[in-house]
Amino acid sequence: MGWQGKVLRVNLTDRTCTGEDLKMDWARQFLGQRGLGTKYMMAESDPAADPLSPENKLIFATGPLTGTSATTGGRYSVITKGALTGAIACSNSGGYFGAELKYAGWDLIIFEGRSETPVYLLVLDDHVELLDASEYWGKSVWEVEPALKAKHQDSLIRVASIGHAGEAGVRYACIVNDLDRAAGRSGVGAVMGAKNLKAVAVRGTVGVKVYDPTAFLSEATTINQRIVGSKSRKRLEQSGTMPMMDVTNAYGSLPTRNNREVQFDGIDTVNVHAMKAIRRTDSKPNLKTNKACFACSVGCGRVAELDPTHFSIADKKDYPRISGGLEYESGYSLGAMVGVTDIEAATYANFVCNEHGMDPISFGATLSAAMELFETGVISEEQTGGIKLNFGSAEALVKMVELTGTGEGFGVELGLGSRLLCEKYGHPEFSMTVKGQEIPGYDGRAMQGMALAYATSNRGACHLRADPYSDDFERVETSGKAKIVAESQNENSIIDSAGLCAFPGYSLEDLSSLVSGACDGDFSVESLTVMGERIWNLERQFNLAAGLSMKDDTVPVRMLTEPAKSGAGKGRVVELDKMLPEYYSLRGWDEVGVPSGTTLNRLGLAD
Amino acid sequence: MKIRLRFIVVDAPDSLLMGPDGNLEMEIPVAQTVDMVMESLALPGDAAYLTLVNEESIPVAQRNGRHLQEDDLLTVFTPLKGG
Repeated sequence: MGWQGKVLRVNLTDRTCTGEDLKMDWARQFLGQRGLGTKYMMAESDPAADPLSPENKLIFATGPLTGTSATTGGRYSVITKGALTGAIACSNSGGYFGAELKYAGWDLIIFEGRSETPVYLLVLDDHVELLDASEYWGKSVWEVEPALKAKHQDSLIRVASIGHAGEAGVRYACIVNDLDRAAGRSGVGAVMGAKNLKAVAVRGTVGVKVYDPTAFLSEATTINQRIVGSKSRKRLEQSGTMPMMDVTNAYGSLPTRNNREVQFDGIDTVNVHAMKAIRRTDSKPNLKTNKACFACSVGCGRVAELDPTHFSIADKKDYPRISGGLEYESGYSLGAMVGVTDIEAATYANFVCNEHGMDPISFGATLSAAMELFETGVISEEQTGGIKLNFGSAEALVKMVELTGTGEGFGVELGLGSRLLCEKYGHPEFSMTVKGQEIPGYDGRAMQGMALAYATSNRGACHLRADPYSDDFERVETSGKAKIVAESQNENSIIDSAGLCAFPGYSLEDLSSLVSGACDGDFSVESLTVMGERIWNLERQFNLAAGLSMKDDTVPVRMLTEPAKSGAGKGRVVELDKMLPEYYSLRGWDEVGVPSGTTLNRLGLAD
Repeated sequence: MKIRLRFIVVDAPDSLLMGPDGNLEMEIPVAQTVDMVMESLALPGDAAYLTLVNEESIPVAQRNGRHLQEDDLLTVFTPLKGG
């Protein structure tokens, strides 16, 4: 109950698809999605394997609440060893694909090996087959999804696919479902591309059963009513996450021009007000409307409509002008981080990221590193193909996103991600990454808790693995940050494993009541707290086995050595040395960040 | 004395007329604390508000002891979570 109890194993090398029972003891220990997928990765794969080799596995995983009426219960995750990071990768997506996969009767799909030729997987409940994808290879996400629906004559089929970026091995390629929802981070799309797997197309009709329908429905309804009435939900529905641009800018934690600054002088051109302002050219705003994922009562998703006269599309009459719009992270990375004050150019760049399947955070932060390489004379137009990569150049943003998405010209180098790019040109200090993953939109010098969250995140720099926001926006001092980060990391591990989204602000009590209604077992607050800690430590074990160590628990050197020029963190650097030892101690790890035998025994991870 | 007031992701009270730059000049008695000004604004009580004075973050617990000076910029904002 909650779980379907079934795993689909797809061997791409010998082209076999086999159903097997879900290991229920693992499900009760690791719940689903992120936790359960990581358990299978740890048990079945070699953490030291090359992420782009056939030895790496790629797991699509749902949670026990995926496909239920719990608000935001439509999530799925892709778990693998990240192409961008070499660390455990778990990338979470909304839309409708996750619920459809669950409705088809599967908790997980495990892809192993590598197909010799491009294929896609068709799942129609129990009918599962690998089909030739030669005709789709080289096509964008926006072309493949409708093409597969048309081919199988079912508009209700849900598709998760890679675009050119995943095929070309862009290290931060995404897997995109429902055209603009993505398992976006860590390069899960590059792993899929390396397996010659173009898409997964799913149609499900078996539904989902829960353990105690009456109790579950009652809890889900009560929680949903509370969420629907909340101010934060209303704000997210009306404005999405873009209001954060003004918050971080005012606070002095908005990464600007490759973190050389922390406040953006062009903020008024790429914030929520700019999205809603009526354009002179066509009397329309950039923001068209909002939209929601499966079972979601928040509706934070943005739908934008490009200005038809904008230079990026002026000569592309057939270009779809309406797609997923800017959210905070893409607003930061395609706006302030590259110094661009043209919201239409940033929106177009975001469209191209959806179209070709790329993470806009990593793309924008990699471009900003390239811009610093260019402005400091390390690279020139000789490398960039004649394009001036100056901060603030909307033309450079538009051209480079196209070249990266299609794997051409200097875009091939941008597709390496900023760590490899900056190492190649002898300036690793220009790379704003943790464990190879580009930072999200928070500078750690004013947000010390977020800095610790970045440093300790198992998948590399991430803004969703911990929840230090409220405390960080209130005080800059480091005391107490380690506890806030560690505890919220455990809690977020549960949200990511249950099938839910982090946005409604679920408490552990909410999660306990929902999971207890859906699944048979002990899912008290206490049990879930331990389970979250177990999942976190399991990911840590994977990373240690992959060769990562304490030296990877850090933040970009700029944040450690260059004081912030303005804002609440003015004059400060990230004080990781004050927080990391306390964090290790709270986690029950030794002084170099290795979980102790006592900790592993307590969590049932000793074997 | 005069201070400047700015609201970020907070609806300004209807009684205040914000300037075109999003700031408001506000006349307050000398020796007023952040706490006193926040109380006078009477913002809706069901939300959390955080404050900056110029570039300095003022924790809730320290608002009572933080006196405002002439031309200070008091920023009031809501602590969002990211996405």
